[in-house]
Amino acid sequence: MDRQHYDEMVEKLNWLENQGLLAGRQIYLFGYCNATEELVGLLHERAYTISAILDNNLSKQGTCYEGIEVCAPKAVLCSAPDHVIVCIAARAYAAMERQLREMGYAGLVEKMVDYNSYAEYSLTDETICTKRARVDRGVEQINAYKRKYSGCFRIYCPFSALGDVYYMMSYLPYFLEQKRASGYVIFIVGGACAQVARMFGAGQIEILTQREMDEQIQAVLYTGDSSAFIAHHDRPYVQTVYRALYIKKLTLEELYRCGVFGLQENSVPYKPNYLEPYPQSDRIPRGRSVILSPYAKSVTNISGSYWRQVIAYFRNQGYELYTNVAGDEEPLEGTLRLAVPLSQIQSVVERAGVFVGLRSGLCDVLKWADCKKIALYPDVYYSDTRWKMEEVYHLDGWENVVVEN
Amino acid sequence: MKSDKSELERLIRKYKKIVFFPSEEAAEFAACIPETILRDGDILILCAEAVFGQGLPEMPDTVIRLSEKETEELVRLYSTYEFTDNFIMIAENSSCASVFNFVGNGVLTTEEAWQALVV
Repeated sequence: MDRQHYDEMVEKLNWLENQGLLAGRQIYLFGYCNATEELVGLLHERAYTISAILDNNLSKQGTCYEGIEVCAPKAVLCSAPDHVIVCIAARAYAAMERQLREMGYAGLVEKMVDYNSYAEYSLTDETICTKRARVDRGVEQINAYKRKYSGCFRIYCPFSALGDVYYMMSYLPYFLEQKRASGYVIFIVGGACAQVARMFGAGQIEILTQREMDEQIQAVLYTGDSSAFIAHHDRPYVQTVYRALYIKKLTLEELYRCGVFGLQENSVPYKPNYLEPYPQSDRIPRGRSVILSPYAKSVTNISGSYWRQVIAYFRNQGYELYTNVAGDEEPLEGTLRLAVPLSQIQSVVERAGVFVGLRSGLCDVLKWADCKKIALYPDVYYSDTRWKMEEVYHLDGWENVVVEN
Repeated sequence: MKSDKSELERLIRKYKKIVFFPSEEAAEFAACIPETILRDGDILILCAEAVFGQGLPEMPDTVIRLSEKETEELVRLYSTYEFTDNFIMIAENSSCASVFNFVGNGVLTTEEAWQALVV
């Protein structure tokens, strides 16, 4: 969960407390995901008891997180609605809220984070007016960028995910050639994603806030802007590429290659050519080190005990162990801290010899690294599809390990 | 279709999926809707006058012809924000991709692409 959304969730929690909406109520959380895990942590810090985590995913039901059982959503109906609050930190708030109401739940439902500024399931004049003002803000912004980058094609990456940006950049040259684009500019959220774009040689990059990105994309849609392209498989709401997963098993890379860019299956991806060596690589024992990456923004974490087993396994074979961290992430116990820029991480893992990571966008960034590469997957389904996460995020040339609950 | 929001709200509540064809450019997509989808009582097709004459059959309960004004208003609304999660507009849109890209490169058949849209 990124810092902005986390802070938003803390603010919402403070508001709920101040309004007296938590004390004395049975608290249910809907949607078992990384954001919900963060919310559990916050609630436990404040000494609240959570009755259950609700989830539609059958493979998650019956499991436990921090002593809290994961149940089917109908479990919320066992409690009197006046004494219940359902908090939703997951992304699909609108659909979840509707599901609860259709089930007959009449109690409080609170959105903890607003991920989806595009959606408001209402047709009131007030809603339309608010959303129209949002479009106007977006139009003002895109007009300014059209003046700044006159004659350039604008590429929007709606979501701050390293893997999405990586695959977008891998196949973008084909798209630009087809459009006969003489120049292009990438619009992106977050510095890390900008680093990925630079690794592929993108010279013109604009880093936006999520709000700016959403507003500009909405303006692109509203104006039918033919000098812009929204390069994503499921954002915003008009995108239907991801729906192919309801019919066929496809990897994330295939969604971009064949769906977003409409290329043939055998199209060859471009590789990132603007990589750098890590200046302190001498301190990493060559071929006898393991770089661990235990954190991911949008994937359910793997248990600490599993990582301790991984660490013990490699230590017993004489490896030096490092945890690659970003921001305020902490290294795993018994490992050394590394904080390496994305453009240098490939040189680090190749020096080390082994990389073990929770499947995240960092694994995509290391796709071509010449070393032993192990990607760990929680044993869950991808979104509401019938494919397991490993099937959609599978990486060729890697050891893909599913960690059972 | 009555040109007011209450009618749209009624349709959103009634149908599992609403598919909207706003322009003649969408006619090629409309022409290949599988019969099973056309006859699915839970799926509503809304189409502009120009699309209606391109081979879409008259089906009073599940295919509704829209006036030019109704079409324009609905396009504008859809392009402003996501007002429901069971409404899709099928149109030639150069600014984003669609599941029909998979038909062009043979990953999906046309029927499969339509099934993916309405599932």
